[in-house]
Amino acid sequence: MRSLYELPAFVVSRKIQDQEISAEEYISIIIERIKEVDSKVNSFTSLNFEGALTMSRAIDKKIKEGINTGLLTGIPVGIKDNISVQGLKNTCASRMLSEYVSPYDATVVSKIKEQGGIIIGKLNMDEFGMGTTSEYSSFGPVRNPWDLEYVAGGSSGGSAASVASLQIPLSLGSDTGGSIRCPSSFCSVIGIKPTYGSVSRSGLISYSNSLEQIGPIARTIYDLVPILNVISGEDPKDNTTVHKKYDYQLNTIDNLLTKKYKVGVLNEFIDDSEIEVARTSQKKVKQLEDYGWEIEDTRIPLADYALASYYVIATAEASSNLSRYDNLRYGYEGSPEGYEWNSYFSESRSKFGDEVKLRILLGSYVLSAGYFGKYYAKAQTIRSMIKREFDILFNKYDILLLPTMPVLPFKLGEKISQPIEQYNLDVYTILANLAGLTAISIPAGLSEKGFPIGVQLIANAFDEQKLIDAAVMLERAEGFEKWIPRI
Amino acid sequence: MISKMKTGQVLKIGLEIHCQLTNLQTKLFCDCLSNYRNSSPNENTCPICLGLPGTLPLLNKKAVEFASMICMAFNCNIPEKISFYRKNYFYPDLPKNYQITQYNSYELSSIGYEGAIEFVGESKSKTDTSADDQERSKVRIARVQLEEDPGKITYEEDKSPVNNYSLIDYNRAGVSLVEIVTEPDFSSPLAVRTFLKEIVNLFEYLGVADPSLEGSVRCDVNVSLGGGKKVEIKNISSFKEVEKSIYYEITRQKTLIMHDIDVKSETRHWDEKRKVTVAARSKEEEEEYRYFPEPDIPRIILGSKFVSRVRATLPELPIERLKRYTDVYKISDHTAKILINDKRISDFFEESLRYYKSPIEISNWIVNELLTKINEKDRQGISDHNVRGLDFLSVLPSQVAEVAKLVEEKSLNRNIARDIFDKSIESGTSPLKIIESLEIEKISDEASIIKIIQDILNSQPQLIEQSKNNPNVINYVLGLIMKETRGRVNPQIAMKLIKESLEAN
Amino acid sequence: MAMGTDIKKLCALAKLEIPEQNIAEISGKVKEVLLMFDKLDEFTTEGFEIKSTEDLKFERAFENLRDDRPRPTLESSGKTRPKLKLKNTKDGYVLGPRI
Repeated sequence: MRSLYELPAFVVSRKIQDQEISAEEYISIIIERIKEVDSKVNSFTSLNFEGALTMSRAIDKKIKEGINTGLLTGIPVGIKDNISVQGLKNTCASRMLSEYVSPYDATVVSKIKEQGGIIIGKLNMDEFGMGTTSEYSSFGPVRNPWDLEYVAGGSSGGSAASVASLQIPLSLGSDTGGSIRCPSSFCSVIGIKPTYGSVSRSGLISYSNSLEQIGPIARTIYDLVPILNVISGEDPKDNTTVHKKYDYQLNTIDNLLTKKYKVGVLNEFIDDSEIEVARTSQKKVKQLEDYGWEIEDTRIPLADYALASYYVIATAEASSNLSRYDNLRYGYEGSPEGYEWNSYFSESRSKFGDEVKLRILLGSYVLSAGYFGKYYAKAQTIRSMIKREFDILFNKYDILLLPTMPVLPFKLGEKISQPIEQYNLDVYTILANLAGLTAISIPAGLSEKGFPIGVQLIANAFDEQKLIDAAVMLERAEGFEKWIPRI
Repeated sequence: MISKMKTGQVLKIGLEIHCQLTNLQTKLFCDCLSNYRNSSPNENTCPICLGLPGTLPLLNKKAVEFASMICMAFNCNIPEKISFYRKNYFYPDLPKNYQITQYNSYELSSIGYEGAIEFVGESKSKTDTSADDQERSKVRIARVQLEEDPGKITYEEDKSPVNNYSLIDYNRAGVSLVEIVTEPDFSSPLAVRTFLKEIVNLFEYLGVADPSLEGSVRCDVNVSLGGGKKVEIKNISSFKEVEKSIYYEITRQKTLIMHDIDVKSETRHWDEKRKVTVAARSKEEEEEYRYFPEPDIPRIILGSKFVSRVRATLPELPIERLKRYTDVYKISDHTAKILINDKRISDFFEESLRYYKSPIEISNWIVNELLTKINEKDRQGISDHNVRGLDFLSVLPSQVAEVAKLVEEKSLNRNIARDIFDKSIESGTSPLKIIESLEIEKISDEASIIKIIQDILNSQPQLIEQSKNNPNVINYVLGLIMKETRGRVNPQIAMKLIKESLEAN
Repeated sequence: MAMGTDIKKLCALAKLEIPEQNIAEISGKVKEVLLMFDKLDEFTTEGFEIKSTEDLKFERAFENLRDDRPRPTLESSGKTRPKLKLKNTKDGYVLGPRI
């Protein structure tokens, strides 16, 4: 007999709505599970147990009264600690915001609440989203549930690890250069970066506004799609969202068996990966082929310039986005009384972590007079051209396939000192951010030593449906239940 | 005019004018009120204008409209698409430590570019034959841009030297500003003063701002002498100070040149107390603004019909009104300029016309009688826009119309009307009430006049005989009538009737 | 880019205080990353027509901008807006450093 926390969210939600179990009961079990496990994984930065229990009782009451409680009824959702939840701390895992409590809800959070979702806590991450391992956190690193000495991936490490370790069934992360997909791959869960402009960024603390999107993480595609539908949509509070109908379907297997997608395999990336990653990716290719999907090798030109283009743009935007943190209106303890303003600003901003400081300096440099054309303008040009290349590919293919990460999860502390070495890990994931496309990381298997490997699918902007269809098929071939960490 | 210095050096002055769009309801990027002057500190704020984490700017549609109206009034080109840029610098009054503005160095992003505007000019006095061409010159506009205002830093008054903290109020942060940058086409401080007066008036005509609100229109200046480096002067609190600062700066630069010292290209602050410009503190030293396109605001497509649509809703501009007054109403150029150079005076005039349609008569009353009565102090008050409308005058447009009508239709003697106006302004009583109290309705009906004439002739019958030889008798009788009626008789009619009466007798 | 002094200028520009003993290390990292950025120099945009952000910059029609309407007051909406708690306030003002 499986515990409630082991079941997919949609299953439990159905039970709650049918009044087989109460929402309160479910949340209580989740709370116990978190207390049991999270001291090992360190995926939460703050918890909202009281609030969650109150919400669950309110939902139970509504259900008894016959009121429709929504698509996410009773489901506990963890929110990455850079997304605003009213009344909860929003620290971005930084000392700069250690005392900041958000006075408003992010649009995605309001939507989740409206649909009966219960915000259970804030999730650990790399400071301000800058990192690939979730080691750059003022709360300590997130540990991989598959082996606690290993990194969970980043920057949404807490979002992935909490779901992978069966503490919560759903979480929200943010993806600027792979920050949802990377930890999803390292922790063996499914995470999607939606098309730029399909999910509101109002309430997301900006790191690089032209690159990032909020997205969900779950254990199964059947849990991912409902929350993706809930959070997607044009928002008057975010002028970069696009007016469209967002209504993703979980098509039946029979239906999908008649669809024949054309898959372009970016085999150069497969070849450049660690051997087990390559092998596992090939296995997934074969599975799609077995469904009758057309497979072809292809490549994306200009990929060599993607990394520089990405980091120029990201650091430039970050250096400006982080300027507002001066500890005057909000931040952490301390008063400016007695300080001269220049030294107050410099001193209060010294609380940023080293990686954040590095990126701010880089960003300030590339934007300074005389360098704009050499770096930022050039990077944006290349970005446009990469998008053009993808347009050409998507005229031919429905989906592109490559690994999510070039490597297996590695030990904590292993890559923390060399920035370039870490940046190079992002090479496969930044492409989708640069071109504003949608991409998903799907659990593909485990290495011989038992470390998760994820396969990445990229589709054209607003073509999430194709990714979902593929995920359904791949999950059918090898379900998430096959890979559960023992923790 | 000091266009050419004794040393033969050319003076070039350029302006950067900031106009707050006070007639908007909300700020540029959020729905807080745009008029912050009635709010207690930090009451008129929200997460967006406070720069709270995770907030995004939401551009105000009407601000774009108002800004383009200003562009049209300055004859600027308006592009089909506009975008916004971030100007990055740190300062405690800047919530995000960057300002969202517009910038044209990497692409054409601003709401207006390459325009030009002619001065309407001060009215020349009727006897002034020296055509002062400076005041009729054209000023080229480099660009017009839309941007946000920062908050305000203040100090506690009683402790200023010992202050080790400042007080910040973000009520103003995020208010819409339109910045108008001119080319250095001004060659005298006087021209600058005239121009500023005119464009403040223009903003009122456009209905985009109320210049009487404190701080609603600000101006920075740049000055260069003899083709030398440009010096920027900031921190000027009022237009009077603009002129003073320019004079000071000219003197300062001339002095340097005379001593063979190079004038540095720099930003200086105007110190109002000491009446000098001083080298600016570190805030302006760093000119490293790291401009880049604002990622949270898409490029805005105005569309090809935008300009014509806004132009159709543009209110009458001063220069158009001037033309209407001179061409249609046939008012003299001199008088017309006085009227239009202050919208409230010209509105007063238009309102009076509604009651009595005699533009020349009414305009004369306003310009020659009414305005000349206002003493210099009040005059200054109007031009500083510290006085709201012409309320300090007790005269209403309808009353001016009424008096003009009475004079024109000859019931009221012009001199007496002038006296009445004086009394009205002094006492605060309306002219009509004064007229009533003095019972000075003109006696125009012939019967009453004939009766008065008869009474006089009856009491002095010798006049009839004398009038046959002495033409002055008629005037004498007229004088008696005037005395008798205290001037209320229409002189032309009286003269006619006197003649008739004398002949009849 | 030279080390030491240029980093100090950048720190002043970005208002970031970095202790003296860490300057060399961060200098090195900045240099390393800038070298990676220089990869962009290898790329020529000759033969390509697009402007830098032409394809990717989002566009929005003027009609779809926010209307100039103030938010409903507390009385009319019946909702209470959570009062924004700013840190270090004095009589409503935010306390700032001296200028």
